[in-house]
Amino acid sequence: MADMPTKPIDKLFKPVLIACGVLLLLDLVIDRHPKVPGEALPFFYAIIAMATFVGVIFACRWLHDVLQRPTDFYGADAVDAEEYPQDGLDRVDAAPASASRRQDS
Amino acid sequence: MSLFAPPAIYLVAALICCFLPRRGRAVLLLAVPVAGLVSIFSYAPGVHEVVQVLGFELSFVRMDGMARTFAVIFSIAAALAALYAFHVHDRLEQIGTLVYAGSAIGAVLAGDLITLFLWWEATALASVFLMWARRTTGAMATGMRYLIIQVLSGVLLLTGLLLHYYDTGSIAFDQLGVVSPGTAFIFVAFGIKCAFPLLHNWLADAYPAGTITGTVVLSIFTTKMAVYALARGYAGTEMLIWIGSVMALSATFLAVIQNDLRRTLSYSLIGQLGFMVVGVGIGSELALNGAMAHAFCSVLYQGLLFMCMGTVLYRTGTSKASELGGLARTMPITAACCLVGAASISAVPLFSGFVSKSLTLSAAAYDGHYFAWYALLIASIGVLCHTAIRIPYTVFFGEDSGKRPAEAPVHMRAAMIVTAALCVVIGVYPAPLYALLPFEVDYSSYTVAHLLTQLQMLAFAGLSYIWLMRRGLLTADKDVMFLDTDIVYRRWLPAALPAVSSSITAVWHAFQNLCLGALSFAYQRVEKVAAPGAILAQGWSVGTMMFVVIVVMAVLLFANLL
Repeated sequence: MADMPTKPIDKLFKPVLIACGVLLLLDLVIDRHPKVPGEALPFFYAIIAMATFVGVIFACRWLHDVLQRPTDFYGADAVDAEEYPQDGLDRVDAAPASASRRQDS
Repeated sequence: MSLFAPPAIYLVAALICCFLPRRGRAVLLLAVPVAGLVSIFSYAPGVHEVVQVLGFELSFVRMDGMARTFAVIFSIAAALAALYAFHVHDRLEQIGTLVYAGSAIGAVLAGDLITLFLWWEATALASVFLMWARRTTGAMATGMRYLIIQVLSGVLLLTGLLLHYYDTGSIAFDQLGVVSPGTAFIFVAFGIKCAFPLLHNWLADAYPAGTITGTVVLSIFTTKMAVYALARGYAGTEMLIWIGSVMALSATFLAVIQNDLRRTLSYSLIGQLGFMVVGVGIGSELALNGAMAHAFCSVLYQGLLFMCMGTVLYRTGTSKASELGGLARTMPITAACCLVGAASISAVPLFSGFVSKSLTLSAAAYDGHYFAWYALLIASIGVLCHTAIRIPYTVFFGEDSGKRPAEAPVHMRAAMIVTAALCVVIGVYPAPLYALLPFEVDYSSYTVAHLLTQLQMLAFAGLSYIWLMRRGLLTADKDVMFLDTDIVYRRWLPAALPAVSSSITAVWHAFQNLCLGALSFAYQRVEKVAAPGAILAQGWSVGTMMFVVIVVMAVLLFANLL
C-alpha cells in the first residue's frame, strides 16, 4: 500500500465542508417533525453537534491536566505500568512476511 | 434443571473441557454456543419450568421475550468470542469463559431471585479468571479488586432477597420497584454490575486488565445481564432516567481523555449502558424495546471494537493511543472492521446503532423526558469524540507510528468480519431484531427526518474534529493514566489507614487511663472509709443494722408504689 500523506485529515476537509453545506440546505426544505423544545430551531442538530463536540474537547483539555498521573501512580507493577505478557502476543511484522511469501512463490 | 437447558450445556462443557486437548477445547468452545442457541429455540415462548427445592419453587428456565432476546445475543456473542479466541490454549481461561457465559445465560433465564443470585455469583467467580489468565502481578491485583466488588454486589443481592422474602413471602423475580429496604438492596446490587455513577470504576479498572480475548468476553455479559435484571425488576423507575443520563454524560468525558484505548472502550461501554438504563427507566413498551435492541446491538459493536483493539494489541504489544498510528497500511481488514464498529456505535445510517439508539431517544421525546433526551443526544455526539472518530483515526489513519504489524490471524479476522457483517445486516434489515424484542414494534428508523438529523450530527461533528485538529487544539496523547473514583480505595483509604489506626489506639489508651484513674480514685475513697478507726471499720450493733435494712426496704416499697 502506498504511503499516506503526513496529514490525511486535510484531504477530508473540503468534502466534509461541502456535505455540511448540503445538509444545511436540506434542513431548510425538509420538515424534521420536532418533538422536543428547541428542536424546531433552524440548524438545531448542526449547532448542537458542533457546540457539543468542541465543548467536550475543551472540557477534556482541562480534565486531562487535572486527572493525569504517571502510569506507575499505583505502583510499578500496576496494569497501567506493566507491559502485556509476551507469551500472549504474536508480534509479526508485515513486511518480512510478505517478502517471504514472494520468495516462496 | 435439564441437562439440555442452555446454562447446563455450558457447565457440562466446562467439565469436559478439563480433560480435552488444546484443539478439542477450542472446537468445544465454538460448538457450545451453537448448541445453546438450538436449546434456546427449542423452548416454546412463555415456557416457565419450576423445580421444588427445600420448599422453594425455583425456576431455572423462564423463556419469555425479554429473556430470549438476551439469551440469543449472549449465545451469538459467545460463539464469536470463541472464534476470536481460537488460538488460545489456556485451559483456565477457556473454562472460565464457558462457566461465565453459561452463568450469564442462566441469570437471564432465572425466574426467581434465588436462582438469579446463584448465577449472579457464578458470573463473578468465573469472570475473574479472564483477568487472572494474564498472569501478571497487576492483573492479579486488579482481578482481586474486581472480585471483591462483584461479590459485594452478590452479598447485597442476597441481603435484599432475604429482606424481600421476609416482607412478602415471595422469591419471584418480577417487577419489584424500589418500595422497601429489600428491593432497595437489590437495586443497588444491580446498579453495581450495571456501572451506575460512582459504582462504575470496577469496569474501567478491570476490563483493560483482561487478556486480549478475555476482555472481549468480559465486555459481553456482566453489564448486559444487569441491564436485563433492571428491566425485569425496575422498569419504569424514574430514578433510572436520571442515573442513565448521568452515566451517558460522565462516561463521555472520561472516555475522551484515556490513552489506553481498551480503557476508552470501557468508558464508552458505560456510556452505552446509560442509554439502556434510561430506556428501562422510562419503562414504556417503546423504551424497553429500545433498551433491549440497544443491548443486542451494543454487544456486537462494542465486542467488535474490543476485538479490533485486541488484535492491535496482539500484533503490536500495545493498545495505547500515544504509541499507535497509521496501522491501516498493514492491517486493512482490522481497520475496516473497526470503521464498521465505529459507524455502528455512532448510529450511522445502515449500521446497527442507527436502528436501536433511536428507539430510546424517541421514547424519551414522546414521554416528555426532555432532560434525558438532551443528555442522550449530547452523549451520542460524545461517542463520536472518544470512539467513533478518535479510535479509527488515531490507530489506523493518523500520524504514522512507524509500526508495520501483520494483519490479524485468520480466525480473528473471521470473527471480526462476521461481527461487522451482523452490524451491517441489522442496520440494513432490522426486522429480525425487532421480531425478537419483547413487545411489538411499530417504529421505523428510516424516515427522511431521522436520516437528515443523524447525518447532520455526524457531518458537523466530523467537521469540528477536522477543524480542531487543523488548529492543533486536540490534546496530544501521552503515556499517562487518569484518576477515577477507585483512588478512594486504592490510595486514600490505604493512606488514611495508619492515621485512623493510630487515632483509634490513642482513643483506646485514653479510655483505659480514664478507667484506671476512676478505679484508683474509688479505691482510695474505699480505703479512706474502711481504714482502721474509720466509719466502716467501727463495730455496729445488730439493732443498728436492722434499722438500716428496714429503712432500705421501706424506700424500695415506696418506690414500687409510685
